[in-house]
Order: sequence, then structure tokens, then C-alpha cells
Amino acid sequence: MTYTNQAQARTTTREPEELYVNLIGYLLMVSGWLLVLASLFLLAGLGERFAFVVAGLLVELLGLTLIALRYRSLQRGPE
Amino acid sequence: MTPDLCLVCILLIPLAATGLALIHQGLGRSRSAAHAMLATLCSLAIAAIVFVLIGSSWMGFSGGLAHTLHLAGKSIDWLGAEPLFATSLTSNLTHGLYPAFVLAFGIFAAGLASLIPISAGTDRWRLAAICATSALFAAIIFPLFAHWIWSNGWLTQLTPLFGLPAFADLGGAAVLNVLGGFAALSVAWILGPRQGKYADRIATAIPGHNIVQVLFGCILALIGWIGLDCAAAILFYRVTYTQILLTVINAVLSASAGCLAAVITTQLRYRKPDSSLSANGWIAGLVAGSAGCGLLSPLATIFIGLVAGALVSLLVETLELRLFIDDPGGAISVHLGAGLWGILAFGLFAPAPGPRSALILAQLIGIATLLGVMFPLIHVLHRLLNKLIPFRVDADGDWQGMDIRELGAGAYPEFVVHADEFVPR
Repeated sequence: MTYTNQAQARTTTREPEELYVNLIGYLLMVSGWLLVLASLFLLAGLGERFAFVVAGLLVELLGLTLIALRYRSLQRGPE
Repeated sequence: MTPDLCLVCILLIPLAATGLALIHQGLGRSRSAAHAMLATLCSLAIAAIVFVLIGSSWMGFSGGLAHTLHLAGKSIDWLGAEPLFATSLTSNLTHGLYPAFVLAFGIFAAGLASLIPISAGTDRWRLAAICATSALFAAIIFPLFAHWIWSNGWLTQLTPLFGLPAFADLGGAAVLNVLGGFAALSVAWILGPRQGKYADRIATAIPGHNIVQVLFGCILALIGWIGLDCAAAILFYRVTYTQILLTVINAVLSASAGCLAAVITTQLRYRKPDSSLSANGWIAGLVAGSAGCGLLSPLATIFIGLVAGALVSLLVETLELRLFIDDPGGAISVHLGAGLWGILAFGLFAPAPGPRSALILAQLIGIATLLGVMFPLIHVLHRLLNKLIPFRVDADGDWQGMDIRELGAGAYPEFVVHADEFVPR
């Protein structure tokens, strides 16, 4: 098999680790959205909902950051 | 609704696609120019066919059939349930011309959104993979979110469901641009950088090959965007004639402010204005202004455009130098970054029927949905597709150029330029 570039070669050789980190990232993003949804169903006050929606967004950003850092290390290459 | 005006506006939308196509092929290398333009045509063609056959059924329209989910005593409208292959257009005429207008608009809107990622994958994304991605976008991703926003889906029903103002996106900042921007980010991650972009871990400038076409594309995009904003506002928000005129004025103002902000930002940072970043600022202004095009005041729109233009200049640099994302056309910064800012800015500046914080909250819920549902969905689907149809051209094709590799002939056969004249930063 010929790798198309170094980044793809690294992606393939680190497949299980990458899958694991990405999975956590996706789960965090979906969890953040569920937090937002839960606040709409369970809370009535505007301030409470606002706090929960912001918290949900922060969880989503955490998941996105995790995925971004993972790809960053792949695309930049080894030290 | 004003049918004649709406039809004219819909017919202008392809100019936005033409503009974006010129921009992304101009910002790519000359050895991939014909490939980029053919990819745009194929993307538009596939998106149109797939949207009519499948996507239009799931997008549906306000007042049409829909799937609902019953949760905690509330009915959540989450997906359109119109017949496949747009058969209801001829068999069921109870809704008059409206479904036909939505279908015509959806064809162009899905096509426009599906070609945004091409900009991020320029010079290395295979044509077959581009076509498959466009089909996926027009069949699943675009119709799902468009239903939530424009076809009486749950995000527009926040008032009856949760007592909040509805999430608003008058011109498609979320439905077209943020979705397209997320797809661009996903594609850029999967493809990895172009060969030579990060040689020795240092970002290398790979300049676009035709900046004149890029700047001409900006003018075409303005006309197309005016059509897009007006058509969406007429179809989905029933705006008045005055608001349609305000939409036109705001589109020009936001693009102008975005471009000038980018010119000033790059002048301050690099001592000379950067034409490609200024072009990106122009489009970023259009994108950010489209979220509230017919409802915002001209002053607020100018401010939104200025922030979008400055933001894009900084985002392009951050993505390239800090996150090592190779996005030749700047699609992620322009469509995702400015789109998110535009959605939030609507909450900050649009006339609020109740408390301002409730309007901001509604917009934040939309952003959270884009980030927490749509991006994971897009990225997972792209990764699965990449297993079936590898996105990236092989190593030889990367250097050879996509024109020769995939099409067998270059865009400029009389040129002999392909020296790798990249300048280390």
C-alpha cells in the first residue's frame, strides 16, 4: 500500500489511538448539545437556561478542541 | 409572497456559485484550475439532482408533511416527510406555488453550500470524492438542518415549545455557510495539507495563481448573495417590500465593510493590503450580514461586516500557522467563522420582541445544535465516505497537479510555469 502523504501514513499507523481520541471528542460535542436540550425541557428561568446553554457550548468546544489538537499533531508531523 | 420578485432573486443565486468557484480556483494553483472548475460544475449538478430526488422530501416546506417526535408532552418536528422524487409537485397542488418555489430555491442553495468545501480541498481532493460528498450533503446534511430552520422545524418552534424567540437565519448564514464551513473543516482535516505546505514544520506560502479572477468572483458573489438573501427572506420569513430593499442595501454594506476591514487589518499587520485576504473579507461580510439581512439596521450591518472582515484575516492566519490546517481558499474562516459571528450578531442587534437575552439564547441554541449535532454528523459521514472513496489524490498527483492527474490536460496548456516557487514564511 502506498501512502499518499506523510499525514495519511501517520493517520493509518495510529488508527486505534486516533479513533479513541476522536470518539471522545464526538461524545463531548453531542453531550454538550444534550445539556442544551435538557435545559430547555427541565428549566424554566431565562438565567438558568442561559447558564446551561453556555455550559453546553463550552463542553462542545472542549470536544472540538480535542479533535482539533489530535489533527494538529497529525498534520504538523513528528518533532 | 411576491412570486415574480422571488423568482428573479432565485435566478440570481447561481452567480454566487460562479463567484465562489472563481475565488477558490483563483486561490489554488494553476495546475489544478480546470479541475477546480469542473469540480464546481459536478458538485452543482449532483447536488441539484440528489436534492430533487431525496433532499427535498426531507427538507419539506412550512405547512407540508413532517415527522414528529413526542417528548415530554411536546411534539418536536424534526424531519420533512414529503414524497420522494418531488412527486407532490404535480400530484398535490393544495399548497399552490409555494412548494415549487422552495424546491427551486433548495436546488441552488444545496448546490451553493455543497461547493464550499471544494475551496478547502483545492489541489488535492479527488473528483469522485467531491461528487460523493456533494451527494451526501444534498441528500442528508443540508435538508435536515434546512428543515429545522426554514420548514417549521423545531428550531423555529422554540416559542410554542419552550417560550423562547425562534432561531432566525434570514439569508442562510447557518444553513448554507456554517454547514458548508463545517464540511470544509472536516475535508481539510481528512485530506491533510498539500505536499510542501509544512515542510520542516514551517508553514510555506503557496500563493493563488489568479487574483484577478478572485476579485472578479467577489463582485459576482455580491449579486448572487443579494438574490440568495432576498429569496430566503421572502420565502421563509415573508418579509415586506421595504425589508427586501433593506436586504439589498445591507448586503452591499456588509460586504463593503468586511472588505475594508480586511484591507485595514492586513495593512496594519503586513504593511501592505493583502488582496486575497481582502477578497475573503468581502465574502465574510456577505456571510455574516446574511443572518439578519432584512431586519438589521444599516449601522449594525456595517459593524457586523467590519468585525467579520477583521476576524477572517486573523482566523486565516491562526488556522494556517497555529492549527496547521491547509485551507487554500479560506473557506473555513470565511464561511464558518463569519457565519457563526453573523448568527450571534443577529441576537445582539436584531429588534427583540421581548428580553434581549432571550433572543441571544435562541441564537446560541442554534449554534449549539450546529456544533453538537451537525458537525459530528458531517465529520463521521465524511470519514466513512473516505473509507469507501479515498478523498486524497496520490503523492504523484499532488505534485503533478489535479488537471493532468485527473483530467489529462491542464487549464493553461500554453503556460510553462510549474516551478515550485514557494517562499518559506
